[in-house]
Amino acid sequence: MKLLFDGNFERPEIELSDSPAGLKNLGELLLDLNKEIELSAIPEESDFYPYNLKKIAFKINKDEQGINLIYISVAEEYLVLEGTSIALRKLGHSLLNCFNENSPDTSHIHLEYFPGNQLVAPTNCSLIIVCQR
Amino acid sequence: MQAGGRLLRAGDNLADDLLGAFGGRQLALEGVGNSGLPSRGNNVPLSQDNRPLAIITNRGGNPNQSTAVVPGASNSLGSLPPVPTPSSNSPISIDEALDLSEQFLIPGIPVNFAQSGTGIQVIQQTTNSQGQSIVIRIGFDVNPNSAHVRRFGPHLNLQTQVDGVIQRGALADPHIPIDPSTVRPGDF
Repeated sequence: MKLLFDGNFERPEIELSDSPAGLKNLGELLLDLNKEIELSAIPEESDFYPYNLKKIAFKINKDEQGINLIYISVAEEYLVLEGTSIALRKLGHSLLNCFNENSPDTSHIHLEYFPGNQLVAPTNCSLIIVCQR
Repeated sequence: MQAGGRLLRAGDNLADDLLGAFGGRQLALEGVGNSGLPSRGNNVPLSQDNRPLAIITNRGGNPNQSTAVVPGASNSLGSLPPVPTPSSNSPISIDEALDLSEQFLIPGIPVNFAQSGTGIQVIQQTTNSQGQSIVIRIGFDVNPNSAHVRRFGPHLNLQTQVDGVIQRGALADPHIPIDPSTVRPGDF
């Protein structure tokens, strides 16, 4: 997994890329996640993103308000995705839906806030998840 | 240019064209000024919790109110129509992207617009006859200031969420390349 960052903290743009198998594994992991985890990223030089983030952290919230959305943020050198187990499961299913062994390189999905989004909570982050062998 | 039975590129930029295609009403980008249109280098203001405010709303109306309605009959959405695809693998023009977008939207459902770092988003939200939340998200990722757009080139996203899950198969989220020469400075 690679985590590229454009360095804009006002409106961060982050690219998470991995192989089809890696994205599928991540999707399966999120279906049954019951504790906080951190995954390390492999540094990569990019012509488009000047920075790398070191890790992605998945944090589980309790469903106190019935809001099952993913909260996306950048904290120091971490990409943090936080949500209830239901929210993380929705993300897991989305990854499994969108990525498989036949996915072409550069196929990707956008996770960013817009009014009415049923997956992503309000955030100024734009996360793009990319299939890259 | 006439395409899909509509007059496209009638406005000065993509936002104008979207409004003409999907609503034709006098709308304004909240917080962006009287022109109501996003333009190059025009930063979208954020609320105190950093939530983008650039939601097109009826000028002077309720910000939460839906802003335009795709013409056509209402739809119970028991099954969603498949995602339209371009006729070839070649990059399409912005005009063709607008045409595909119109095909993708659900008739009779209000449309909202939002500016993001990568371009302009068009959103519909409704509930189908099974009680599932349906969200349609069209992304015109055309802003060359975005690292993502520089990497992949301008493109069109057609995303469907059902109960917050991005869909696959006939509802899969394609990313359709847009010919950069057809993107105008005012389009992002």
